[in-house]
Amino acid sequence: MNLTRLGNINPYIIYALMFFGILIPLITPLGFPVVVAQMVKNVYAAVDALQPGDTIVMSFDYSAGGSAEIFPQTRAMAIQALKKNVKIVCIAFSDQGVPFADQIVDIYVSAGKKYGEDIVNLGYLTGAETGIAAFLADFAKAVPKDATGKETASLPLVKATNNANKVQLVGSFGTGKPGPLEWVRQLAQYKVKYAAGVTTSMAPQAYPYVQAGQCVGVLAGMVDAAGYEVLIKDPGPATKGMDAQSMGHLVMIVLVLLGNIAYWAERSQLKKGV
Amino acid sequence: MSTSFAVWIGAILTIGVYTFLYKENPFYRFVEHAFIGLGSGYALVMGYTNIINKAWTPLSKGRIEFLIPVALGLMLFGRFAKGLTWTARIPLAFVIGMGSAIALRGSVQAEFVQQIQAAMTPINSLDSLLILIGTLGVLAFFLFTVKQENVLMQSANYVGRVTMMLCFGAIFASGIMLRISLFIGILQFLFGTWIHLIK
Repeated sequence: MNLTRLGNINPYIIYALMFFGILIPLITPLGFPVVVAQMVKNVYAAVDALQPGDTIVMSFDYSAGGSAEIFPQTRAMAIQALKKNVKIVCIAFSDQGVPFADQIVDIYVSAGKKYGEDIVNLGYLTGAETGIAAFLADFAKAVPKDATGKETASLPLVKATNNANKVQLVGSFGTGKPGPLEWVRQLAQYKVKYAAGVTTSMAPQAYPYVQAGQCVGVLAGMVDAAGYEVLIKDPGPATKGMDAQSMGHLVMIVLVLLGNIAYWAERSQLKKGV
Repeated sequence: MSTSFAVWIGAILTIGVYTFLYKENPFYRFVEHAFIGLGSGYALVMGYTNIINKAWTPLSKGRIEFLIPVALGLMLFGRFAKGLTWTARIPLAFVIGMGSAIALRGSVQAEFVQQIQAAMTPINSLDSLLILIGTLGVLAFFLFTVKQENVLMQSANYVGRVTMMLCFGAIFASGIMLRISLFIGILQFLFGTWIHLIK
């Protein structure tokens, strides 16, 4: 058998393998266990330590493209906060982040919480890191009107917690800039805890902030969102996607192995002068 | 099957994007252009809302100090008029200066002091030992002013290279994981929200 041919698999076969490898576990779940990472436990513990009436800032710094990975993280944190009677100030430093913040508001409102008192959506704030600096210093000054067009300063929740010193936790969820680096830089002068939710590809760059104590934990992509859903005992979209994720990885590992077998076979043929 | 018009539109456009896997075609190009157009339109609306909320509303309430940022913003358009190009440099200098100052304010503490402190942990576990070896190796790898001739430097260089390769491997694997997660999201939408095959 000529093993070098493994390096020339038709791309359509690869597409089909990946498509069915991911789709089948979504339709008929395989029941792989979800392992909860220590980082997820750290973030869960940070929210769990909050008292009823405390406030979290949740920043939606992602667009529709990254929502499959990030939205389940925000949903899980919001559900835990809801169970703890913790209030949420939503803000977006990505223009497409506002509708995702609206979905978190819907979760709160449908559970009987009041908009303006228990949760607010301050909408999109331009300026990236400069915007973050202005927002942390004074919510109402940086964002005069919320996403619904109401005067921010008139909202009871903003009146009570108008800057970063008056909130107990900041959670930023993003797929690029502004990301953990910008948040860590701007939060350096405040004594508020910080948790980050990022895509899996961004996670290795965010972990050093945890080691340095600048961040309580990093939620990396769908896998950590699934872990979070396990901790809050509320399986959601991330948990449902975990079997498919594992199968996708298995397909990828097999393909990488086949590629390497082809490479070594080709190399040995070259050495033999075939 | 979903009865929502928006879901149907979303599903058809999603399929349009994936037709690119076969080959580039007019359907794909239409979806691509529609996406760019919609994105630009959405950003325009958000920008307009920002100007109304942050400039027009305070100005209409008599807060004339807001004339300064409005004037600076208008000066950015100077680059489109011959002879007035120089006016755009002033607000740009303002933006760059402000941005740098705000970033620098926290970066010394957040990116240097605390990161160096975190790397200076006692060696009481395998993790901390690996961090120490990896950090020293990578730093040695980038010592371009020292000739890598003796065994010590060559070994440190090798350790640095291996450490970076492991890091690149982790980043690449994370990238694959991200793509698979995004694809899962698409399949959940197509086979769950749209045709209700996924429960």
